[in-house]
Amino acid sequence: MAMLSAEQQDALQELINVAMGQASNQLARHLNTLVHLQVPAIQVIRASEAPVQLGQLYADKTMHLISQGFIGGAGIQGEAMLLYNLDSTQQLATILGYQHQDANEAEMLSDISAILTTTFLNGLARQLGSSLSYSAPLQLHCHNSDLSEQVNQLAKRWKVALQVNIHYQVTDYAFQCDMILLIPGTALLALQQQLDAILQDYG
Amino acid sequence: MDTHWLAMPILNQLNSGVLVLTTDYCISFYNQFIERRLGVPLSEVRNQSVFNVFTDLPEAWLKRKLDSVVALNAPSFSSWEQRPYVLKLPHMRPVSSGSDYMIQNCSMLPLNHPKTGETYVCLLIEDATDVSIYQQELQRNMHILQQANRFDGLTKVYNRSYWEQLLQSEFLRAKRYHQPLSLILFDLDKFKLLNDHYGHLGGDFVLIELAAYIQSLLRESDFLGRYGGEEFGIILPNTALQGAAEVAERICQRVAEHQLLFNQNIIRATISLGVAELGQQELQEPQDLLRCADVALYSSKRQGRNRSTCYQQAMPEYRQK
Repeated sequence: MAMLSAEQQDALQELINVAMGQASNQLARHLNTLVHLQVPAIQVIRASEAPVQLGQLYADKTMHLISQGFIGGAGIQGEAMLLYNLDSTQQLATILGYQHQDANEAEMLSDISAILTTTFLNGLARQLGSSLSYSAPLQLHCHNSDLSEQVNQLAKRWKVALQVNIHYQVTDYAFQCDMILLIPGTALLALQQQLDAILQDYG
Repeated sequence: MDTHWLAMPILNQLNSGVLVLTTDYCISFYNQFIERRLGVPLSEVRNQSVFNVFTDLPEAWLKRKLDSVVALNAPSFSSWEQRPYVLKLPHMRPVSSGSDYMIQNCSMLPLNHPKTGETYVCLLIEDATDVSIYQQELQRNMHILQQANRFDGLTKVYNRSYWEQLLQSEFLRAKRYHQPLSLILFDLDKFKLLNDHYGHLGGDFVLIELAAYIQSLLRESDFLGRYGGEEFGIILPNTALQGAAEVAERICQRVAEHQLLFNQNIIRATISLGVAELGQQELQEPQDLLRCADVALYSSKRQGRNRSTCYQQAMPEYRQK
């Protein structure tokens, strides 16, 4: 099975670092607070392995799973999943600048997800000389049901899962979320070609 | 072929609303979809604040959203499931939808002027009224199905299969957290005679009335289910044998005093009850608890009915009705 070569993975990590830096900068200005986005470690795994990994990672935890589809030029396509383990959405409301009555939990999760996904992926697409269109974020999973089952259903349709762990830290508190990009086989080929082209330019 | 002329007619005939705002929330464009539903020509409100034209907008919320679209140059979304509508507009199914306003999905997209570089935000409004109607119907039907799946058609208490699931989960919970759990099984005395005397309608009537009456004597947290023909079970979470025995005794007495009026006849029914507690023995399976309560129930029957008995280890294990 065609996964990424070592060079391709390095190139992708570099592009993601740059995209994450840009996203971090944008978020800090937008949210008007000190934001620290740790440069994420990426891991390319088969989509079929994702449910097991996540199931172990989030066993016994209350999870929120938000999914947002994206499609761009040159065959790039996929689905971004954001996983949150939050005790309370009060933090989110503060980060987003919402007053108490402004928005409910699902809405805040959709908002923060769209912000995190699109700022990051727009940056990544720019590195690849492309741009992306997005579907509306969808909340797939609420409290206390089986996460790995949900991810399993999603992963069946995709070939590769690119796991990006984002630690999102704001001065007074921290919350963590994991981003998983699920990418189908054809889009993986397109991605590889673009990475190869970039490698050639710099090679 | 020159295709530039296409944009405007398509924009106007599009079955979605397009509303373009400046970064200070003023209207610079809306298409025919919005114009017709709003009933105000664009020329009258161009350059006016959107909050003056659509007076019911959630202002703080929308400003937050629009600001994020501009600041991040990235789209933002609002789903009808979380917020039924952003713009208060009439819809085309005012009679059948159950909603006075168009249910909407809204995408807010950043637009950059190709020459000046100015940023605008495009609100794309999609009518989700039909979807929301289907969703409501689906939820209603799911609820009906769930009811049918869980409740006994005649007596409206839990049916056997769902009650057994409850027993299973309460059993596991009690074991895990070392909490007490008790079970009462009860049976209508001489139900066959009732049926013979008043007919099957009379027998059904007694089952329905007694199930409802006993339900009214229980706590919210207790689960009453119909186990078989005239046999019922009550799961009592977080209740030790002593408490369960008191509940059983009270039910027994109250049922015996309770008069049922059927076709001008007063029917007095009695029940026999058996009580068992999880902690009495090292019980491994919910079936063991059922068996103990059943043995105690049989003991009540054998001692002359219309009474409750707690399970004891010395009780004979066989059973006949």
